[in-house]
Amino acid sequence: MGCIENLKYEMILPLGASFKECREYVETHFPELWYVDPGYKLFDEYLIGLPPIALGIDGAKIVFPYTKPCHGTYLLAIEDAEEAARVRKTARKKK
Amino acid sequence: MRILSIHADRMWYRATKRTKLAEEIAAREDRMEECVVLFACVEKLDEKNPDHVVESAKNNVMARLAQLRVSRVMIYPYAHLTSTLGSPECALCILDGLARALRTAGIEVKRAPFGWYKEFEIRGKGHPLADLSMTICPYEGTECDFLCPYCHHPIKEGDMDHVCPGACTRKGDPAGKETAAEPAEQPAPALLVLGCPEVPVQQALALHISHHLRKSGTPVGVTGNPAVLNLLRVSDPEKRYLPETTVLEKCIEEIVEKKRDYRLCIVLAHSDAGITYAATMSHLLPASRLVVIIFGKDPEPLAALIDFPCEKVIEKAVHNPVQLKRKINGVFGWAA
Repeated sequence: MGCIENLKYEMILPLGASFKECREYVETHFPELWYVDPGYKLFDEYLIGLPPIALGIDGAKIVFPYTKPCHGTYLLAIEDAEEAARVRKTARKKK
Repeated sequence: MRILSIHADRMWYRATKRTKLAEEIAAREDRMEECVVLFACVEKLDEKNPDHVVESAKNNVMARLAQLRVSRVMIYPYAHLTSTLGSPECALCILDGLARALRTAGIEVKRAPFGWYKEFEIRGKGHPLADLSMTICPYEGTECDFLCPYCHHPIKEGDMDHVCPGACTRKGDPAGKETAAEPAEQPAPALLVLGCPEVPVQQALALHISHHLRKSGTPVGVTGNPAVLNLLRVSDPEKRYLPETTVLEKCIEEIVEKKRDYRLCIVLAHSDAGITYAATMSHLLPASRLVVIIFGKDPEPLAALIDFPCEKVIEKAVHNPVQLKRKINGVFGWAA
């Protein structure tokens, strides 16, 4: 996900969070929830994770887990109205 | 330059419609029997050194023709073998150059027209060496793909013996002893997914697993982050054990886009991230056998995170791979 690293992101949960912790955080902190499977394309990259992957949306901000082999999973937020609209169209509401 | 070479009983084509790149032609239709058809495509990189590409392609094609004992070639311009096409001028120059070089070497050559839509009929011979793919590298000038991991020859000697009895002699064998191996079906490829290289046993286990899979004839692709792949490349400079490595993101992209498929996926996991990758592979490769090897200082809690179908191999291992290696051998039925 090299290109995500080049985007302006906010780190919601830092290094050391497990994937499940990230999912729980999204589910408890973001009223607008969407679910996708691994391989879903977000910001032009394919998501990695335990299905279902929870995405939170707050206005134009998308909150999603980002896994790196040497670090673990981060929970990141990136503001992008167009991508948020696309998630609303293509992701699912139920797990 | 990409060439798809097909040993054919016969090949026929007819130019149906010109494109804006069409060359002028005398005859729209032609055919050839008992020949090798070279579906050929010139790439952007070839523009760097067209003469070298022609010479290398000629040498590679001549080697194929000698193996197949064929002296007739039809060069068929075929743009669909690459996504980075060379310029039409360079393509024509290289294709004509290859035709001339082959004729000079005594080969009967025909070339289908460039820049035309064409219909064609081919009857391939269908033997193990009939269809071969060549990548002519403009830098190295050699065929880059499909090297045998043991003899470094592009083709397995056993396959040669089946197609051309008596033609195959083992490299370096002064007696010219023929090989007698039976041709084998190409097994489905396996994917080895590696985690962060911070746990030392992973490197050893990756080479061990790849060695055994390749020994049994299974092609192996290895994926991981750039750090782990760099370590492997240093350990295996001649790519004897790990010929094909792909960065994880690219690998996932290729699986999602159905460019690649695997029947066996082995994930080495010593962290939460490793389990995440295993879960991803479980989802993306539902028809494949998934084996997750969980190791490191404290593998049990990690193994407990797995709630997707897979075979688990669990062993505490950081510096000493021996016990885990035994377990892996047991799962796959490999001798120690």
